[in-house]
Amino acid sequence: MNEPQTFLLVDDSVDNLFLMRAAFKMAKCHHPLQEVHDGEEAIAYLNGEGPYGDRKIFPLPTVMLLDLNMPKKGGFEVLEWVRAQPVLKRLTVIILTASTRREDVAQSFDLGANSVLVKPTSLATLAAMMRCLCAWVEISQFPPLIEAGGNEKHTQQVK
Amino acid sequence: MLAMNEALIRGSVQQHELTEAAEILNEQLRLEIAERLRAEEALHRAQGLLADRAVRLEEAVSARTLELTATNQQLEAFVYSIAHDLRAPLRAMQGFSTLLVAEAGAALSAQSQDYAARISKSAQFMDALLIDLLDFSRVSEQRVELTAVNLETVVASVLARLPHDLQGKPARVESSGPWPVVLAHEATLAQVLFNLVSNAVKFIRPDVSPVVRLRAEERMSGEGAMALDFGPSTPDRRVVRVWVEDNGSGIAPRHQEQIFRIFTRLNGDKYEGTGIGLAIVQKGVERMGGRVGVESVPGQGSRFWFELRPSPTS
Repeated sequence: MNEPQTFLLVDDSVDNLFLMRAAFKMAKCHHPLQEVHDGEEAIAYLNGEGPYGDRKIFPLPTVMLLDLNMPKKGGFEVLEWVRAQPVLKRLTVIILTASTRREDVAQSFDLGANSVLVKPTSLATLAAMMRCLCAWVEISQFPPLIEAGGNEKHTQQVK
Repeated sequence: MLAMNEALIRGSVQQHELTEAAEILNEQLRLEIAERLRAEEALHRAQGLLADRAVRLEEAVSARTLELTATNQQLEAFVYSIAHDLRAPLRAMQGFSTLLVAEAGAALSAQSQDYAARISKSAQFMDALLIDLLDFSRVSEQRVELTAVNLETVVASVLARLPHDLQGKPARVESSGPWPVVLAHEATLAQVLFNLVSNAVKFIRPDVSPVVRLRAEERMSGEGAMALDFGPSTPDRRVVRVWVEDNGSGIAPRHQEQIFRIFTRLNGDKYEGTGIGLAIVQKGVERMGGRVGVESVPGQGSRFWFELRPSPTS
């Protein structure tokens, strides 16, 4: 396998997070998974704030899987914030939502999502989705999220 | 002299008469002018009143429109929350019952495994119900603007989408042109056709391979058994009738009207389905100003049809 790529799962439902971990396991996708439970936590994680200060334990993710409908800050707000950050704006963000509304898909892309996936009902289908996603991550190139000459500190400054 | 006097007197009498006549005329004119002024004033008042009413009517209409828009938005929000909130627990039910069997399958009795499978199947069925309900409400609520739509393009796109939904059944779908251009809402038309074709291949004995035929014909409305009514203001009564014919199990006459009602399932659990598909068809065609119907003899297949207006430019 290639080098490990961290996935950040953002979803307010612990059941969903549990099932996503199960789906990754069924998909034999063994990249490290991190999870947060709402938009505010997602921003804190990406900023390396509070409990997420140690990048050795909470590394910047290669891919963020972002739910839309969440308490506090929703997915759109997080996406908008990410795209406004000088360095984080390159982060690969995949919307994973229950919504099939065309407006939501359009807005996700307008705000700079890299892909929109609709949560399937069946766990087997979710596992198949995650298998595709992992295969895609493994053949893709990703931009560095820390600029040349930058370091952990630089990331910390990103506000 | 006398004659001259007489003439003078006659003259002064005439003058007097003339003056009198002029005065009467003047008086009449004055009256008429006063009358006109009154009429004009009344007219002005009426116009003012009318303008006032018009303004008030406009205000009432825009207030009502606002109200309706708000109601519509509430409905949309409601439907959205159905999609999002009701489906989330279903994913959990389905997911965890799958995990239960996957991880503890060996320790579970055959009966317990069956229970878990039933939970999963029910969750998936309810999910299908919710998706169909969402489609039904979308067809009912969305703005339907009729434009010229090429039937051929829609038929091709529906047939291209179909194979994934036939679940391995070797179905044959034959479509024969020419396909006219109709007045329709493209997304709704595609949904109507998709549902009819999926329906046509579904209800069939397991040992028979489904064959579905699609064709269109132009005709005058009201031809044949069913009367059509596109409203009295439609002078052109040409319609395009699209046929979807199958070799399935057919529908008894007493059920033929029932099948378009929402949640109607004639076959119980024998075939998969939510009983919403044909209700979507009827609602969709209605929204496009047309009609649907079916001709069927049990055991000899069904011929579903819907009619739309042809595009005036075609």
